[in-house]
Amino acid sequence: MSALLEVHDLRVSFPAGSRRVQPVDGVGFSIARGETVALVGESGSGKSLTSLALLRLIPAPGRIEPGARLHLDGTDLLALEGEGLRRVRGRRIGMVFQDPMTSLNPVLSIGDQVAETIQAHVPINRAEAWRRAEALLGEVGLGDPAARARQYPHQLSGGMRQRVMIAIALAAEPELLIADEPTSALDVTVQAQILELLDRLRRARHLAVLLITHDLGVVADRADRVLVMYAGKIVEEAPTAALFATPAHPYTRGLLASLPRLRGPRQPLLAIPGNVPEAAQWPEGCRFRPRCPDAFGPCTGEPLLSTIGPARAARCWLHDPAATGGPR
Amino acid sequence: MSQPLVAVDNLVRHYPSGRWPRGGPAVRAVNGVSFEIALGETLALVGESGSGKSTLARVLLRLEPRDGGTVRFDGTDIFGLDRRALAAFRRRMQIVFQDPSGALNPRMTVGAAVAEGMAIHRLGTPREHPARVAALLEEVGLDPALAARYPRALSGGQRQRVVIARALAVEPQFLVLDEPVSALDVSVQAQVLNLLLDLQRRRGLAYLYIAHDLAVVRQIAHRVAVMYLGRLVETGPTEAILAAPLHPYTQALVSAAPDPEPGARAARIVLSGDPPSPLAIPAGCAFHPRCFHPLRDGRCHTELPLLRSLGSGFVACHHADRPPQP
Repeated sequence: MSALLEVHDLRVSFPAGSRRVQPVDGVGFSIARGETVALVGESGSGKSLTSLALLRLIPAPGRIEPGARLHLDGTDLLALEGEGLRRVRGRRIGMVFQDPMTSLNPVLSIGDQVAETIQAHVPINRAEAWRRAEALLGEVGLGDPAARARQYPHQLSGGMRQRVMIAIALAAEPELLIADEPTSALDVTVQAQILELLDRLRRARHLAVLLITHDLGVVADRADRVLVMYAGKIVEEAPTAALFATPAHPYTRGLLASLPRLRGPRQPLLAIPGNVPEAAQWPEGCRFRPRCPDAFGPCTGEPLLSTIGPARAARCWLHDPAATGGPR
Repeated sequence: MSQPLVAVDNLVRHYPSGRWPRGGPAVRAVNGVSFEIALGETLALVGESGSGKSTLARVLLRLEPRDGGTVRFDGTDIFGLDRRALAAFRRRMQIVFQDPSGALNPRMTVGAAVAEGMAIHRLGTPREHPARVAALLEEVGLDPALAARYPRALSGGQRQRVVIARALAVEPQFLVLDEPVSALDVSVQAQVLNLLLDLQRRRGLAYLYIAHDLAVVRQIAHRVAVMYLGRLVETGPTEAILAAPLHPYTQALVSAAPDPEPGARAARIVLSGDPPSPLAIPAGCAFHPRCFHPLRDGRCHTELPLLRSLGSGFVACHHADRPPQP
């Protein structure tokens, strides 16, 4: 399987006083066409900055550190400037954010907004763009798209607005869709509809989808693979079923044990002690060490991401053959 | 059951809408809701945005007026109380909101925030307050030294613990918890849920827990009430409702709930359409435009289904005795 997107050693830094902190600290992964990869993490893990970096949207004075490699089907995203960059943003990579209300223009009809996006990327006339916009609104599941196209964002519900955002993201027929918490602001019954829609579009258009979320429940049924992020680093990577069946990193195990369940015996929740640390306060060595129930001697040193099975890796000394004298 | 601590009977709250002076149709936010909560018990109120659950909570505490029905607290009708008597009752019922950052004054130290209610309700002398604050902070799992800090120095989870300590400072019997963990990181949510369970066990508190996350509800609630467009559509013991929901809407909610177990879920029910607005509640059964019950018929369009006893709970569906088999 050849990768559509390849990310290697991505570091994003921001000034903090006299030094710089790196909220994204050496992230690497790849996504193939037709595949959904979930990037899971809590607030401050660096997951959203990672997605902004893919679009080269890191706001100054933040920057992507030299040494990173971002390739989209052979195109070096870090070498792009001006027009070339614009051709990738929104055209080859589509983006859907959490809050559809703030991403839509309140004074333009939704048909205008979709048509405008199409025209920005494809040289066609207004009437043709409008016709395509209506078709696209139909494809994302808006009933009576011809009438809906003439409506304004405030006339739509949250779920419908998110469908419009997805239509806009798809307007230029991207190869990669980045969805950052696309359902977190929506009601559960509407959440299910939007996730279903993303899945249908992925299959129909052979899209690569990067699903960014804090919600492991959302991931379970939707992603092919999961990347778990903690304190700027990917700490575990696994096919979805394997991750839930046998989580390897103590952080992943802790997250799963702390989640209330709908089925099975009701048990007390095993909370992870402490809080997610901020980038300026990341501890030396393994960054999860102060909260980890399994921490032992080697954990004061920096763990590497080691392969622990087919398509599986964990950044933990427990799984590092080099560590000696620890448990197991 | 002994006398309930909180008894809500046929509570109604409508808001005017549209522009003065003509006005539009009323927003029927709460439309005749009844339930009871006993000491030591948690009732979860579950519903989507616009279902009226947060309005209900506010009316319940008389933070806003009602348009019908009664709320009895420990036998007393709280809408019959004068200001003075109401102030005394207010001490016994407290509310915790979703966003702890908005609930704390950024210019007030943690200690001052927790002590404020004690001063207002004249609980103990000002001299005793620091020791009481320290004991409360300890009770909610915080270092008493945090009393001197400001909210901005705390994490989200720590702030929510402060809000809980502040609510407990006036020794209430009843807490309304309005999505208290939704804004917290996953790893911290469990800490706060465990704390709430622990406090209930120790202090015998009654909780009304407002939530949209059914897995959280299962963890914390004894009973569940499901609200749709201002009315309860199903109530019953938590395990029974989650294992075998009878109302089609409850079935859809249970089915749509994200579950961190791949493949654990049976066929998923994906409802079509959005929840309708409380401005234009459909006639008959309010759920009928989104209903997938194979037996749905003309009656559902015209006749309002009332809550009736079925199994271990109550359901408002004309065809509840033959629920759809997912």
